[in-house]
Amino acid sequence: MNERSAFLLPLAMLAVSPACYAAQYLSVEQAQALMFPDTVLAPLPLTLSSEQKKAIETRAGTPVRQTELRLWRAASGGYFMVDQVLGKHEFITYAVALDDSGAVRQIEILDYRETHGDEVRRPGWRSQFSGKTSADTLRVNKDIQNISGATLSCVHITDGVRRLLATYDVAIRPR
Amino acid sequence: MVSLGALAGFALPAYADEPLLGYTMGAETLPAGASDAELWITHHGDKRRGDYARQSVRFEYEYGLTDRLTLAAYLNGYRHDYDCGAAGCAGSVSEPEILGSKNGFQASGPSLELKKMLLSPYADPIGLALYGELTYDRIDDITGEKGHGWELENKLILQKPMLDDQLFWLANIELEAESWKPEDGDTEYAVAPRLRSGLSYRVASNWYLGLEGWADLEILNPPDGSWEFDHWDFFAGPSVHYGAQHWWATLAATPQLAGSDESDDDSTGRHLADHEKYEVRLKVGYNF
Repeated sequence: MNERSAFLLPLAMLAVSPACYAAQYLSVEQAQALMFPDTVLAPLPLTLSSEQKKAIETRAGTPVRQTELRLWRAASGGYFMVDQVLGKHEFITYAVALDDSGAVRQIEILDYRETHGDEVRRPGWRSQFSGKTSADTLRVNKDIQNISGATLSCVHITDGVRRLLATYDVAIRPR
Repeated sequence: MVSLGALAGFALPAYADEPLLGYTMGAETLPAGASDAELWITHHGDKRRGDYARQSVRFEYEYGLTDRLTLAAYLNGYRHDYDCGAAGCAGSVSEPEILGSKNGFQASGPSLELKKMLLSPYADPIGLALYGELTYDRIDDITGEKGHGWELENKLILQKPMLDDQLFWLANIELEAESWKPEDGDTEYAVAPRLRSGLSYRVASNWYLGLEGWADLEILNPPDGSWEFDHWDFFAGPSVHYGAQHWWATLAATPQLAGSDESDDDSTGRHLADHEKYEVRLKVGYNF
């Protein structure tokens, strides 16, 4: 490389300039109030054992990244979980409310920082998860409709909910 | 043969959507109504002899017609900075190519591109897209001489996400057909098939590291001859990609590792008439 290549350096530096465009739609507290109004949520510390992690991955068919769960138990019954899945650039943070039987009551998107695909925040798409349990397929283009142009987000959130339902079965469901 | 090489190797191949690698394109398209603007600068450095450098500069605006079909328009230009003298920067000692010197930037012409995603990398077993690009060039990218050139570039694009969508395998099967008519000469034609492939791994949020390579060959029909094999070459090297919510950048460095020697009496094991010893490409994009 000769000295003329040096003209590229200032542009190359642009490539490593940090930038962050956070878009937080709901805090954890706001999501709790929205999904479990008029009830008390108590943290339920839970760390998955290696056997539980393996069992969840086998059932869900997707890897478990975090063994420490962000889990709350509702005094009126049900569970509140906060989880993250991969977006194209950063993590997508979402919350899932389960009823006492382990069925999905509601999901909410907390943080979404991607360029495209935020159509997953639409109520119509999220409502497809209501009533789903670990017995359901929970696959995009099967029992969950895809949003064209937001495929990666649809697939990863669906995979995440499927993993959380498997987590409920393996590690949370009262025995 | 240099003159058509101006088109043959490097009327710049174009990429839609956000590029994980510098040269090998992915199968994704912009969503309907979304658009982005991109600036590409590719530095080409060093030939067989003399002092040679050039930069290919490209500005692109891309728009999602549907969720699976994008349209893009480009403006292309070249900056040359070479001093090859009478000995020439390429070719054999007895028959030198690329003579004289040049220093300056010239706008060359526009390109128009269509990309159609047939299978999604995330919803289907493998991502698959078809790509076509038509370019008009006023400038020979290697020598900077004026003329008239047309190029039609076609690609079959494959993209396979792996390891929970953190590792991507990309492959492009390409075919270029091109013509070049110098100001004071007759038209020559070329066909150039090319295979690109690479891997890109998400090492942290926003960051991808990759490795890619390509092999291409050129079959030439000069004004005074008939179709014949001209050269082949092989490039490979690393790349780094950063993507934020509204902008991204990709930097790739690729040396020529092997190629058919155009010089019998000054052999280097590389083809240095239509290509250079190395390339460094920077692409930056802004999403609207």
